[in-house]
Amino acid sequence: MFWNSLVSEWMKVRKSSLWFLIPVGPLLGLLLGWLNVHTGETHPDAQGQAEVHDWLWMYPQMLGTYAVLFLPLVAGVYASLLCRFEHLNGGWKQLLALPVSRSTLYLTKLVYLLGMLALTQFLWLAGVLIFGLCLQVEGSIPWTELGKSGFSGWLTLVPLAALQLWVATVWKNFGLPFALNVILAIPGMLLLNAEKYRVYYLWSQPYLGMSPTHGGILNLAPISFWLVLGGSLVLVAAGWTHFVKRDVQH
Amino acid sequence: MSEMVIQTQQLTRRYGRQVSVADVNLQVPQGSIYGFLGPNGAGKTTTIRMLLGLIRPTSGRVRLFNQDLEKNRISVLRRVGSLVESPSYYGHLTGTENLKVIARLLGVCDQHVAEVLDLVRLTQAANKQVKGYSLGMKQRLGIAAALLGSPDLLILDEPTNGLDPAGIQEIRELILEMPKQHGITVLVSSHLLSEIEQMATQVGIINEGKMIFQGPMDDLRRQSRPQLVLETERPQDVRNFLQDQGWSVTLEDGLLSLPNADFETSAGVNRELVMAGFSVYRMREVKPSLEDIFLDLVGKGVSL
Repeated sequence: MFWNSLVSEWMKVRKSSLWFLIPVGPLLGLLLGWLNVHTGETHPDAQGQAEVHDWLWMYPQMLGTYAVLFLPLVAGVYASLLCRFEHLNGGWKQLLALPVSRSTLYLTKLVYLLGMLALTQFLWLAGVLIFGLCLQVEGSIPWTELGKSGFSGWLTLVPLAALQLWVATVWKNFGLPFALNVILAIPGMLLLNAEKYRVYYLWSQPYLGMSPTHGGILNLAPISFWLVLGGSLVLVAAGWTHFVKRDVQH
Repeated sequence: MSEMVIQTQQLTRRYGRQVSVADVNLQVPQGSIYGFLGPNGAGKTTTIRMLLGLIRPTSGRVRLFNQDLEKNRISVLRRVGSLVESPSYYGHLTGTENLKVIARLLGVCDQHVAEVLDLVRLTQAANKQVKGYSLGMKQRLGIAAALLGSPDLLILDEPTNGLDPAGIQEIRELILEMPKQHGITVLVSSHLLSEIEQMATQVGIINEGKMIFQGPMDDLRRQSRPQLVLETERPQDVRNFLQDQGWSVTLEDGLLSLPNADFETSAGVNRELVMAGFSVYRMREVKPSLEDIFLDLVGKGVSL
Protein backbone atom coordinates (compact mmCIF):
# COMPACT_ATOMS: atom_id res chain seq x y z
CA MET A 1 0.00 0.00 0.00
CA PHE A 2 2.76 2.40 0.94
CA TRP A 3 4.50 1.76 -2.33
CA ASN A 4 1.31 2.48 -4.28
CA SER A 5 0.96 5.72 -2.40
CA LEU A 6 4.54 6.70 -3.23
CA VAL A 7 3.97 5.98 -6.92
CA SER A 8 0.68 7.88 -6.88
CA GLU A 9 2.38 10.89 -5.32
CA TRP A 10 5.18 10.61 -7.85
CA MET A 11 2.68 11.10 -10.68
CA LYS A 12 1.68 14.44 -9.15
CA VAL A 13 5.21 15.55 -8.30
CA ARG A 14 6.74 14.51 -11.62
CA LYS A 15 4.72 17.00 -13.62
CA SER A 16 4.85 19.87 -11.16
CA SER A 17 6.96 22.99 -11.15
CA LEU A 18 8.66 21.83 -7.96
CA TRP A 19 11.69 20.67 -9.90
CA PHE A 20 12.53 24.15 -11.08
CA LEU A 21 12.62 25.32 -7.49
CA ILE A 22 15.01 22.76 -6.12
CA PRO A 23 18.14 24.32 -7.64
CA VAL A 24 17.13 27.79 -6.45
CA GLY A 25 18.25 27.36 -2.83
CA PRO A 26 21.68 25.90 -3.62
CA LEU A 27 22.27 28.42 -6.43
CA LEU A 28 21.45 31.44 -4.26
CA GLY A 29 23.55 29.93 -1.50
CA LEU A 30 26.49 29.46 -3.84
CA LEU A 31 26.16 33.00 -5.16
CA LEU A 32 26.21 34.54 -1.70
CA GLY A 33 28.93 32.11 -0.66
CA TRP A 34 31.02 33.20 -3.59
CA LEU A 35 30.55 36.88 -2.65
CA ASN A 36 31.58 36.04 0.87
CA VAL A 37 34.71 34.23 -0.22
CA HIS A 38 35.75 37.21 -2.32
CA THR A 39 34.89 40.09 -0.07
CA GLY A 40 35.02 38.44 3.31
CA GLU A 41 37.88 38.14 5.72
CA THR A 42 41.16 37.24 4.20
CA HIS A 43 43.07 34.12 4.89
CA PRO A 44 45.41 34.62 7.84
CA ASP A 45 48.41 33.85 5.64
CA ALA A 46 47.43 36.19 2.87
CA GLN A 47 48.74 39.67 2.45
CA GLY A 48 46.39 42.30 1.05
CA GLN A 49 44.00 40.64 -1.38
CA ALA A 50 41.75 37.81 -0.36
CA GLU A 51 43.12 34.53 -1.46
CA VAL A 52 41.54 31.17 -1.67
CA HIS A 53 43.58 28.43 -0.18
CA ASP A 54 42.36 25.00 0.76
CA TRP A 55 38.87 23.52 0.74
CA LEU A 56 38.30 23.52 4.46
CA TRP A 57 39.09 27.22 4.55
CA MET A 58 36.71 28.00 1.71
CA TYR A 59 33.74 25.82 2.63
CA PRO A 60 32.76 27.40 5.97
CA GLN A 61 32.99 30.82 4.32
CA MET A 62 30.42 29.83 1.75
CA LEU A 63 28.08 28.06 4.07
CA GLY A 64 26.52 30.81 6.15
CA THR A 65 23.52 32.15 4.26
CA TYR A 66 22.66 28.82 2.71
CA ALA A 67 22.58 26.88 5.99
CA VAL A 68 21.08 29.57 8.17
CA LEU A 69 18.47 30.97 5.84
CA PHE A 70 17.89 29.18 2.56
CA LEU A 71 17.78 25.63 3.85
CA PRO A 72 15.09 26.23 6.46
CA LEU A 73 13.16 28.34 3.98
CA VAL A 74 13.17 25.80 1.17
CA ALA A 75 12.02 23.12 3.62
CA GLY A 76 8.90 25.22 4.19
CA VAL A 77 8.43 26.02 0.52
CA TYR A 78 8.66 22.35 -0.47
CA ALA A 79 6.20 21.37 2.23
CA SER A 80 3.72 24.00 1.06
CA LEU A 81 4.10 22.98 -2.57
CA LEU A 82 3.63 19.30 -1.78
CA CYS A 83 0.38 20.07 0.01
CA ARG A 84 -0.69 22.57 -2.61
CA PHE A 85 -1.68 19.77 -5.00
CA GLU A 86 -4.50 18.97 -2.61
CA HIS A 87 -5.19 22.46 -1.26
CA LEU A 88 -5.75 24.00 -4.69
CA ASN A 89 -8.79 22.16 -5.98
CA GLY A 90 -10.44 20.25 -3.19
CA GLY A 91 -7.97 17.38 -3.33
CA TRP A 92 -8.05 16.52 0.36
CA LYS A 93 -11.69 15.50 0.46
CA GLN A 94 -11.20 13.22 -2.52
CA LEU A 95 -7.92 11.76 -1.31
CA LEU A 96 -9.04 11.15 2.26
CA ALA A 97 -12.31 9.49 1.24
CA LEU A 98 -10.30 6.80 -0.56
CA PRO A 99 -9.66 3.47 1.12
CA VAL A 100 -6.15 4.44 2.14
CA SER A 101 -5.03 5.09 5.68
CA ARG A 102 -4.33 8.68 6.51
CA SER A 103 -1.01 7.64 8.02
CA THR A 104 0.11 6.28 4.67
CA LEU A 105 -0.75 9.55 2.96
CA TYR A 106 1.00 11.68 5.57
CA LEU A 107 4.16 9.60 5.58
CA THR A 108 4.20 9.70 1.78
CA LYS A 109 4.33 13.49 1.87
CA LEU A 110 7.05 13.35 4.52
CA VAL A 111 9.14 10.94 2.45
CA TYR A 112 8.94 13.27 -0.57
CA LEU A 113 9.76 16.31 1.53
CA LEU A 114 12.83 14.68 3.05
CA GLY A 115 13.80 13.28 -0.35
CA MET A 116 13.68 16.70 -1.93
CA LEU A 117 15.77 18.14 0.87
CA ALA A 118 18.33 15.39 0.32
CA LEU A 119 18.40 16.27 -3.36
CA THR A 120 18.89 19.93 -2.42
CA GLN A 121 21.86 19.04 -0.25
CA PHE A 122 23.27 16.95 -3.06
CA LEU A 123 22.99 19.86 -5.50
CA TRP A 124 24.62 22.16 -2.97
CA LEU A 125 27.61 19.87 -2.54
CA ALA A 126 27.90 19.38 -6.29
CA GLY A 127 27.82 23.17 -6.68
CA VAL A 128 30.52 23.62 -4.04
CA LEU A 129 32.71 21.07 -5.80
CA ILE A 130 32.34 22.74 -9.18
CA PHE A 131 32.94 26.13 -7.59
CA GLY A 132 36.08 24.94 -5.82
CA LEU A 133 37.44 23.27 -8.91
CA CYS A 134 36.86 26.44 -10.93
CA LEU A 135 38.71 28.51 -8.34
CA GLN A 136 41.48 25.93 -8.34
CA VAL A 137 41.42 25.52 -4.60
CA GLU A 138 44.55 23.91 -3.23
CA GLY A 139 44.74 20.46 -1.73
CA SER A 140 42.71 17.32 -2.16
CA ILE A 141 38.93 17.34 -1.96
CA PRO A 142 37.82 16.57 1.61
CA TRP A 143 35.14 14.06 0.67
CA THR A 144 34.49 12.89 4.22
CA GLU A 145 33.99 16.37 5.64
CA LEU A 146 31.76 17.44 2.76
CA GLY A 147 29.68 14.27 2.92
CA LYS A 148 29.31 14.59 6.66
CA SER A 149 28.32 18.23 6.29
CA GLY A 150 25.67 17.38 3.70
CA PHE A 151 24.20 14.54 5.71
CA SER A 152 24.26 16.39 9.00
CA GLY A 153 22.57 19.40 7.41
CA TRP A 154 19.86 17.12 6.10
CA LEU A 155 19.38 15.44 9.47
CA THR A 156 19.08 18.74 11.30
CA LEU A 157 16.40 19.76 8.82
CA VAL A 158 14.12 16.87 9.75
CA PRO A 159 12.46 18.57 12.75
CA LEU A 160 12.06 21.80 10.77
CA ALA A 161 10.58 19.93 7.83
CA ALA A 162 8.21 18.02 10.11
CA LEU A 163 6.90 21.26 11.59
CA GLN A 164 6.53 22.81 8.14
CA LEU A 165 4.65 19.79 6.83
CA TRP A 166 2.31 19.89 9.78
CA VAL A 167 1.60 23.56 9.18
CA ALA A 168 1.31 23.08 5.42
CA THR A 169 -1.35 20.38 5.74
CA VAL A 170 -3.44 22.68 7.92
CA TRP A 171 -2.99 26.08 6.28
CA LYS A 172 -4.26 26.44 2.78
CA ASN A 173 -2.59 29.82 2.54
CA PHE A 174 0.90 29.78 1.09
CA GLY A 175 2.16 32.92 2.84
CA LEU A 176 1.41 31.98 6.42
CA PRO A 177 3.76 28.98 6.68
CA PHE A 178 6.41 31.02 4.88
CA ALA A 179 6.08 33.90 7.34
CA LEU A 180 6.26 31.50 10.26
CA ASN A 181 9.36 30.00 8.74
CA VAL A 182 11.08 33.36 8.40
CA ILE A 183 10.13 34.33 11.92
CA LEU A 184 11.64 31.12 13.28
CA ALA A 185 14.78 31.39 11.16
CA ILE A 186 15.70 34.91 12.28
CA PRO A 187 16.61 33.98 15.88
CA GLY A 188 18.76 31.23 14.39
CA MET A 189 20.73 33.91 12.59
CA LEU A 190 21.00 36.11 15.66
CA LEU A 191 22.11 33.21 17.83
CA LEU A 192 24.92 32.16 15.50
CA ASN A 193 27.58 33.93 17.50
CA ALA A 194 26.10 33.04 20.86
CA GLU A 195 27.89 29.76 21.38
CA LYS A 196 26.19 29.13 24.68
CA TYR A 197 22.64 29.32 23.38
CA ARG A 198 22.77 28.28 19.76
CA VAL A 199 23.10 24.62 20.67
CA TYR A 200 19.56 24.71 22.06
CA TYR A 201 17.78 26.31 19.12
CA LEU A 202 16.47 24.01 16.39
CA TRP A 203 16.84 26.60 13.62
CA SER A 204 20.53 27.02 14.39
CA GLN A 205 21.27 23.36 13.94
CA PRO A 206 21.55 23.14 10.12
CA TYR A 207 24.41 25.64 10.23
CA LEU A 208 26.12 23.91 13.14
CA GLY A 209 25.67 20.50 11.57
CA MET A 210 27.05 21.63 8.23
CA SER A 211 30.09 23.41 9.64
CA PRO A 212 32.99 20.96 9.56
CA THR A 213 34.42 20.44 13.05
CA HIS A 214 36.34 17.61 14.50
CA GLY A 215 34.17 17.00 17.49
CA GLY A 216 30.67 16.04 18.44
CA ILE A 217 28.24 13.73 16.71
CA LEU A 218 28.03 14.66 13.02
CA ASN A 219 29.56 18.06 13.81
CA LEU A 220 26.95 18.61 16.49
CA ALA A 221 27.35 19.01 20.21
CA PRO A 222 25.69 15.99 21.90
CA ILE A 223 22.94 18.18 23.32
CA SER A 224 22.16 19.51 19.83
CA PHE A 225 22.17 16.04 18.37
CA TRP A 226 19.65 14.76 20.88
CA LEU A 227 17.60 17.90 20.50
CA VAL A 228 17.38 17.27 16.76
CA LEU A 229 16.39 13.64 17.22
CA GLY A 230 13.87 14.42 19.94
CA GLY A 231 12.49 17.39 18.02
CA SER A 232 12.07 15.21 14.93
CA LEU A 233 10.18 12.55 16.84
CA VAL A 234 7.89 15.01 18.59
CA LEU A 235 7.12 17.12 15.52
CA VAL A 236 6.62 14.19 13.16
CA ALA A 237 4.32 12.53 15.70
CA ALA A 238 2.36 15.74 16.31
CA GLY A 239 1.79 16.52 12.64
CA TRP A 240 0.95 12.91 11.90
CA THR A 241 -1.60 12.46 14.68
CA HIS A 242 -3.21 15.76 13.89
CA PHE A 243 -3.53 14.79 10.24
CA VAL A 244 -5.06 11.43 11.13
CA LYS A 245 -7.62 12.95 13.49
CA ARG A 246 -8.59 16.19 11.88
CA ASP A 247 -11.85 17.06 10.19
CA VAL A 248 -11.61 17.54 6.46
CA GLN A 249 -13.62 20.59 5.49
CA HIS A 250 -12.05 21.51 2.16
CA MET B 1 -37.77 -5.24 3.39
CA SER B 2 -34.65 -4.75 1.35
CA GLU B 3 -31.27 -4.47 2.96
CA MET B 4 -29.95 -1.05 4.01
CA VAL B 5 -26.70 0.07 2.43
CA ILE B 6 -26.44 3.18 4.57
CA GLN B 7 -27.78 3.38 8.09
CA THR B 8 -27.00 6.10 10.56
CA GLN B 9 -28.05 6.06 14.17
CA GLN B 10 -28.72 9.36 15.89
CA LEU B 11 -25.94 10.93 13.87
CA THR B 12 -25.04 14.30 15.37
CA ARG B 13 -22.37 16.86 14.72
CA ARG B 14 -21.85 20.02 16.68
CA TYR B 15 -19.51 22.90 15.97
CA GLY B 16 -19.12 24.59 19.30
CA ARG B 17 -22.64 25.44 20.31
CA GLN B 18 -24.07 25.21 16.84
CA VAL B 19 -25.68 21.89 16.00
CA SER B 20 -25.05 21.21 12.34
CA VAL B 21 -26.59 17.73 12.18
CA ALA B 22 -28.97 16.49 14.86
CA ASP B 23 -30.00 12.87 15.46
CA VAL B 24 -30.20 11.93 11.82
CA ASN B 25 -31.26 8.37 11.05
CA LEU B 26 -30.53 7.88 7.40
CA GLN B 27 -31.87 4.69 5.80
CA VAL B 28 -30.76 3.99 2.26
CA PRO B 29 -32.05 0.70 0.83
CA GLN B 30 -29.97 -1.33 -1.55
CA GLY B 31 -30.50 -0.60 -5.23
CA SER B 32 -32.24 2.69 -4.63
CA ILE B 33 -31.49 6.17 -5.81
CA TYR B 34 -31.78 8.13 -2.62
CA GLY B 35 -32.38 11.85 -3.02
CA PHE B 36 -30.98 13.75 -0.07
CA LEU B 37 -32.73 17.09 -0.06
CA GLY B 38 -32.50 20.25 1.92
CA PRO B 39 -31.82 23.96 1.58
CA ASN B 40 -28.23 25.16 1.54
CA GLY B 41 -26.71 24.94 4.98
CA ALA B 42 -29.22 22.35 6.17
CA GLY B 43 -26.53 19.83 7.05
CA LYS B 44 -26.37 17.73 3.88
CA THR B 45 -22.68 18.12 3.25
CA THR B 46 -21.78 17.64 6.91
CA THR B 47 -23.81 14.42 6.92
CA ILE B 48 -22.16 13.22 3.74
CA ARG B 49 -18.70 14.01 5.08
CA MET B 50 -19.51 11.91 8.11
CA LEU B 51 -20.63 9.05 5.86
CA LEU B 52 -17.22 9.12 4.22
CA GLY B 53 -15.20 9.41 7.41
CA LEU B 54 -13.97 12.88 6.46
CA ILE B 55 -15.31 14.34 9.68
CA ARG B 56 -16.16 12.64 12.92
CA PRO B 57 -19.62 12.62 14.42
CA THR B 58 -20.00 14.25 17.82
CA SER B 59 -22.27 11.33 18.65
CA GLY B 60 -24.13 8.57 16.87
CA ARG B 61 -22.77 6.12 14.36
CA VAL B 62 -22.56 5.37 10.68
CA ARG B 63 -23.08 1.89 9.29
CA LEU B 64 -22.31 1.16 5.65
CA PHE B 65 -23.04 -2.32 4.29
CA ASN B 66 -23.95 -3.28 7.84
CA GLN B 67 -20.46 -2.54 9.08
CA ASP B 68 -19.41 0.14 11.48
CA LEU B 69 -17.57 2.85 9.55
CA GLU B 70 -15.20 3.84 12.32
CA LYS B 71 -14.00 0.29 12.89
CA ASN B 72 -13.81 -0.81 9.26
CA ARG B 73 -13.15 2.49 7.51
CA ILE B 74 -10.79 1.19 4.84
CA SER B 75 -12.62 -2.02 3.91
CA VAL B 76 -15.94 -0.15 3.83
CA LEU B 77 -14.62 2.76 1.76
CA ARG B 78 -13.26 0.31 -0.78
CA ARG B 79 -16.90 -0.25 -1.81
CA VAL B 80 -17.81 3.46 -1.92
CA GLY B 81 -17.24 6.00 -4.66
CA SER B 82 -17.79 9.65 -3.80
CA LEU B 83 -17.93 13.15 -5.13
CA VAL B 84 -18.16 15.80 -2.44
CA GLU B 85 -19.29 19.30 -3.34
CA SER B 86 -17.14 21.10 -5.92
CA PRO B 87 -15.04 18.80 -8.11
CA SER B 88 -11.62 17.74 -6.84
CA TYR B 89 -8.80 17.52 -9.36
CA TYR B 90 -5.13 18.08 -10.03
CA GLY B 91 -5.13 20.91 -12.54
CA HIS B 92 -1.59 20.35 -13.79
CA LEU B 93 -2.37 16.76 -14.79
CA THR B 94 -4.46 15.42 -17.66
CA GLY B 95 -7.77 13.63 -17.14
CA THR B 96 -6.11 10.26 -17.56
CA GLU B 97 -3.30 11.15 -15.17
CA ASN B 98 -5.78 12.37 -12.58
CA LEU B 99 -7.51 9.03 -12.65
CA LYS B 100 -4.25 7.10 -12.62
CA VAL B 101 -3.25 8.85 -9.41
CA ILE B 102 -6.44 7.50 -7.82
CA ALA B 103 -6.27 4.12 -9.56
CA ARG B 104 -2.87 3.54 -7.95
CA LEU B 105 -4.22 4.22 -4.51
CA LEU B 106 -7.21 1.96 -5.15
CA GLY B 107 -5.01 -0.76 -6.57
CA VAL B 108 -7.04 -0.72 -9.79
CA CYS B 109 -5.39 -1.44 -13.14
CA ASP B 110 -4.89 1.40 -15.60
CA GLN B 111 -7.12 -0.27 -18.17
CA HIS B 112 -10.09 0.59 -16.01
CA VAL B 113 -9.20 4.28 -16.32
CA ALA B 114 -10.04 4.28 -20.03
CA GLU B 115 -13.32 2.51 -19.32
CA VAL B 116 -14.61 5.04 -16.81
CA LEU B 117 -13.43 7.93 -18.99
CA ASP B 118 -15.49 6.46 -21.78
CA LEU B 119 -18.47 6.02 -19.48
CA VAL B 120 -18.52 9.75 -18.67
CA ARG B 121 -17.71 10.62 -22.29
CA LEU B 122 -14.36 12.24 -21.59
CA THR B 123 -12.25 10.07 -23.88
CA GLN B 124 -11.74 12.98 -26.29
CA ALA B 125 -10.35 15.26 -23.59
CA ALA B 126 -8.49 12.52 -21.72
CA ASN B 127 -5.05 13.87 -22.59
CA LYS B 128 -5.72 17.52 -21.92
CA GLN B 129 -4.78 19.25 -18.69
CA VAL B 130 -7.75 19.36 -16.35
CA LYS B 131 -7.31 23.06 -15.54
CA GLY B 132 -8.60 23.71 -19.06
CA TYR B 133 -11.74 21.63 -18.53
CA SER B 134 -15.17 23.21 -18.24
CA LEU B 135 -16.98 22.83 -14.93
CA GLY B 136 -19.17 20.13 -16.42
CA MET B 137 -16.15 18.17 -17.62
CA LYS B 138 -14.50 18.46 -14.21
CA GLN B 139 -17.69 17.22 -12.61
CA ARG B 140 -17.81 14.27 -15.00
CA LEU B 141 -14.17 13.54 -14.24
CA GLY B 142 -15.14 13.52 -10.57
CA ILE B 143 -17.85 10.98 -11.30
CA ALA B 144 -15.36 8.90 -13.29
CA ALA B 145 -13.04 8.98 -10.28
CA ALA B 146 -15.91 7.89 -8.05
CA LEU B 147 -16.65 4.95 -10.37
CA LEU B 148 -13.02 3.90 -10.70
CA GLY B 149 -13.07 1.44 -7.83
CA SER B 150 -16.23 -0.30 -9.15
CA PRO B 151 -18.17 0.76 -6.06
CA ASP B 152 -21.37 -0.74 -4.70
CA LEU B 153 -22.40 2.64 -3.34
CA LEU B 154 -22.04 6.01 -4.99
CA ILE B 155 -22.29 9.14 -2.87
CA LEU B 156 -22.70 12.32 -4.89
CA ASP B 157 -22.96 15.66 -3.13
CA GLU B 158 -24.64 18.29 -5.31
CA PRO B 159 -23.26 16.76 -8.52
CA THR B 160 -25.17 19.16 -10.75
CA ASN B 161 -24.25 22.34 -8.91
CA GLY B 162 -23.23 25.06 -11.32
CA LEU B 163 -23.92 23.03 -14.45
CA ASP B 164 -25.92 24.19 -17.45
CA PRO B 165 -29.17 22.37 -18.31
CA ALA B 166 -27.46 20.06 -20.80
CA GLY B 167 -24.83 19.13 -18.23
CA ILE B 168 -27.51 18.52 -15.61
CA GLN B 169 -29.38 16.26 -18.00
CA GLU B 170 -26.22 14.32 -18.79
CA ILE B 171 -25.38 13.72 -15.13
CA ARG B 172 -28.95 12.72 -14.44
CA GLU B 173 -28.85 10.10 -17.17
CA LEU B 174 -25.59 8.77 -15.82
CA ILE B 175 -27.04 8.45 -12.35
CA LEU B 176 -30.18 6.73 -13.63
CA GLU B 177 -28.06 4.06 -15.30
CA MET B 178 -26.21 3.15 -12.12
CA PRO B 179 -28.70 0.91 -10.31
CA LYS B 180 -30.09 -0.55 -13.52
CA GLN B 181 -26.89 -1.45 -15.31
CA HIS B 182 -24.36 -1.78 -12.54
CA GLY B 183 -26.43 -2.56 -9.46
CA ILE B 184 -25.01 0.46 -7.69
CA THR B 185 -26.93 2.17 -4.92
CA VAL B 186 -26.78 5.95 -5.24
CA LEU B 187 -27.14 8.70 -2.68
CA VAL B 188 -27.41 12.07 -4.37
CA SER B 189 -27.89 15.35 -2.57
CA SER B 190 -29.41 18.54 -3.88
CA HIS B 191 -31.10 21.69 -2.72
CA LEU B 192 -33.55 21.53 -5.62
CA LEU B 193 -36.37 19.02 -5.55
CA SER B 194 -36.85 19.33 -9.29
CA GLU B 195 -33.43 17.76 -9.84
CA ILE B 196 -34.07 14.80 -7.60
CA GLU B 197 -37.71 14.30 -8.48
CA GLN B 198 -37.08 12.64 -11.81
CA MET B 199 -34.58 10.07 -10.62
CA ALA B 200 -34.95 9.37 -6.92
CA THR B 201 -36.83 6.35 -5.65
CA GLN B 202 -36.29 7.34 -2.02
CA VAL B 203 -36.11 10.78 -0.46
CA GLY B 204 -34.76 12.19 2.73
CA ILE B 205 -35.39 15.84 3.53
CA ILE B 206 -33.17 17.57 6.01
CA ASN B 207 -33.61 21.05 7.40
CA GLU B 208 -31.61 22.81 10.08
CA GLY B 209 -29.81 19.58 10.77
CA LYS B 210 -32.96 17.54 11.36
CA MET B 211 -34.52 14.92 9.15
CA ILE B 212 -38.06 16.07 8.47
CA PHE B 213 -39.14 13.47 5.96
CA GLN B 214 -37.80 10.13 4.84
CA GLY B 215 -39.39 7.49 2.70
CA PRO B 216 -40.23 6.39 -0.83
CA MET B 217 -40.73 9.14 -3.36
CA ASP B 218 -44.30 7.93 -3.83
CA ASP B 219 -45.07 8.63 -0.18
CA LEU B 220 -43.99 12.20 -0.69
CA ARG B 221 -46.18 12.44 -3.78
CA ARG B 222 -49.13 11.09 -1.82
CA GLN B 223 -48.78 14.03 0.52
CA SER B 224 -49.88 16.27 -2.26
CA ARG B 225 -53.56 16.07 -1.30
CA PRO B 226 -55.80 17.96 -3.68
CA GLN B 227 -57.76 20.94 -2.42
CA LEU B 228 -61.09 22.29 -3.55
CA VAL B 229 -60.94 25.92 -4.62
CA LEU B 230 -64.06 28.04 -5.10
CA GLU B 231 -64.66 31.37 -6.72
CA THR B 232 -67.98 32.93 -5.69
CA GLU B 233 -69.72 36.26 -5.25
CA ARG B 234 -69.32 37.89 -1.82
CA PRO B 235 -66.60 35.43 -0.70
CA GLN B 236 -66.58 36.67 2.91
CA ASP B 237 -70.26 35.98 3.34
CA VAL B 238 -69.80 32.60 1.70
CA ARG B 239 -66.99 31.77 4.10
CA ASN B 240 -69.09 32.70 7.11
CA PHE B 241 -72.02 30.78 5.71
CA LEU B 242 -69.98 27.63 5.07
CA GLN B 243 -68.26 27.83 8.45
CA ASP B 244 -71.65 28.08 10.12
CA GLN B 245 -72.59 24.90 8.26
CA GLY B 246 -69.56 23.16 9.74
CA TRP B 247 -67.18 23.12 6.75
CA SER B 248 -63.56 23.91 7.32
CA VAL B 249 -62.84 26.64 4.83
CA THR B 250 -60.23 29.34 4.37
CA LEU B 251 -60.32 32.55 2.39
CA GLU B 252 -57.26 33.89 0.67
CA ASP B 253 -57.03 36.47 -2.14
CA GLY B 254 -60.77 36.21 -2.73
CA LEU B 255 -60.51 32.45 -3.23
CA LEU B 256 -62.11 29.97 -0.88
CA SER B 257 -60.40 26.67 -0.35
CA LEU B 258 -61.35 23.43 1.36
CA PRO B 259 -58.74 20.82 2.32
CA ASN B 260 -60.62 18.01 0.63
CA ALA B 261 -61.73 17.66 -2.97
CA ASP B 262 -63.59 14.35 -3.04
CA PHE B 263 -66.98 14.06 -4.80
CA GLU B 264 -68.94 14.24 -1.56
CA THR B 265 -67.40 17.54 -0.48
CA SER B 266 -67.66 19.10 -3.90
CA ALA B 267 -71.28 18.10 -4.37
CA GLY B 268 -72.22 19.03 -0.79
CA VAL B 269 -70.71 22.49 -0.87
CA ASN B 270 -72.14 23.19 -4.26
CA ARG B 271 -75.65 22.17 -3.17
CA GLU B 272 -75.56 24.30 -0.01
CA LEU B 273 -74.39 27.40 -1.85
CA VAL B 274 -76.88 27.13 -4.65
CA MET B 275 -79.74 26.50 -2.24
CA ALA B 276 -78.70 29.54 -0.20
CA GLY B 277 -78.72 31.64 -3.33
CA PHE B 278 -74.96 32.33 -3.70
CA SER B 279 -73.65 32.46 -7.26
CA VAL B 280 -70.79 30.04 -7.77
CA TYR B 281 -68.54 31.17 -10.62
CA ARG B 282 -65.98 28.41 -10.59
CA MET B 283 -65.09 25.21 -8.74
CA ARG B 284 -61.85 23.41 -9.27
CA GLU B 285 -59.47 20.91 -7.80
CA VAL B 286 -55.94 22.15 -7.05
CA LYS B 287 -53.06 19.76 -6.48
CA PRO B 288 -49.95 21.24 -4.87
CA SER B 289 -46.74 20.43 -6.71
CA LEU B 290 -43.95 18.47 -5.05
CA GLU B 291 -42.04 21.72 -4.84
CA ASP B 292 -44.91 23.21 -2.80
CA ILE B 293 -44.80 20.24 -0.45
CA PHE B 294 -41.04 20.49 -0.13
CA LEU B 295 -41.21 24.19 0.63
CA ASP B 296 -44.09 23.53 2.98
CA LEU B 297 -42.11 20.88 4.86
CA VAL B 298 -39.03 23.03 5.02
CA GLY B 299 -41.12 26.01 6.02
CA LYS B 300 -42.70 24.01 8.82
CA GLY B 301 -39.26 22.99 9.93
CA VAL B 302 -38.26 26.62 10.12
CA SER B 303 -41.27 27.58 12.20
CA LEU B 304 -40.51 24.74 14.60
